[in-house]
Amino acid sequence: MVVHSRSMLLLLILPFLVAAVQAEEGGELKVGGDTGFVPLTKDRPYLYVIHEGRSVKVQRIQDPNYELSGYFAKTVRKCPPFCIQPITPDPRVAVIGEVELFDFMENELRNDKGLLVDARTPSWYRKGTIPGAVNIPFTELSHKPGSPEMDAMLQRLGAKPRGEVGFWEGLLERWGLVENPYKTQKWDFTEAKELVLFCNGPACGQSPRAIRGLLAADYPPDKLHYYRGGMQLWELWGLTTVKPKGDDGQ
Amino acid sequence: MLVLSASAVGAAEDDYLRAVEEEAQRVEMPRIENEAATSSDEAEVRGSRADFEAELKQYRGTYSFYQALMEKDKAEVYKAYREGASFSRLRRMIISRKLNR
Repeated sequence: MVVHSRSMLLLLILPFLVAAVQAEEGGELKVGGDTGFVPLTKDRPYLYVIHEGRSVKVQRIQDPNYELSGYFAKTVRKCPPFCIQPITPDPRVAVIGEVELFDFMENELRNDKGLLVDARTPSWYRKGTIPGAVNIPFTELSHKPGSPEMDAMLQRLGAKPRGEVGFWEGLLERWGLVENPYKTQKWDFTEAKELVLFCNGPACGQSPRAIRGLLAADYPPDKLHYYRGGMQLWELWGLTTVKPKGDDGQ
Repeated sequence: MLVLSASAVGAAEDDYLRAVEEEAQRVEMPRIENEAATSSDEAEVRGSRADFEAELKQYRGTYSFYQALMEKDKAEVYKAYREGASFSRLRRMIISRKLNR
């Protein structure tokens, strides 16, 4: 009876509870319009991403007078080697922009299905990176396919060695009778992570080299994404950056 | 011939790596205004449970529900906060746990 009364009471007050919470929604950050707040996108004021074990807020710089200066404000760098890169290092690999990267951060990255890879050398990474990124330099992603270093890297990215493939299984796969889009003779990439790779920007060859290295090792092209804008565009939009812990960036 | 071209490719890669490293040494990075790792911006980094609860207090109704939750539920909500969940989602979590326990 007591339980019944409590349920009834709860039912009676439920609309008020919902209304109270909806009223609190008024306390949520309003985007755009008269507020002066510049959101990430029309519908997304900011987002949070885990970086080195802590949650970091990613947002735009709010100062309307802020101007980019320093390295990423430069229009020209020595070419070669720092030449403007083609839109994609390989036509099979999708090129993404900032909005798609935000989606990736809030989905694949958060669900541990993806990895945001800063493919620059550590000396660049230490100067600042995109929150949520891990540093895997292109030199580590360009080892010879089949080398112990490359095999270890593929396993780190979630690929599994297949070992001995049975005669019939191999035959059926070769004839295309068994659908295994993520299996090669040597590797099972089914659980391999979706990767977004970036480096210094459109004139940087480090992430394109990393992507070509992964493709040479049979990493599935549809699990690779190239954020061509890289650090240069990220900073041009005034987006949050992080420096590795305990590092002065020098 | 193959060996020659392979070593030429290797040398080109070495040259590229050297150029990348030289450029990195030369570059002075400006102070980036939107850099979350600097101490002045620590507030932008989601931190302790006390910080979370202080932030939640601005939603008074939800906060009172939160206070009434079991420790296990509170820990779950805090975990979601650390993982970057928005406050709208956190409030829905709190209410759902309050109503369904």
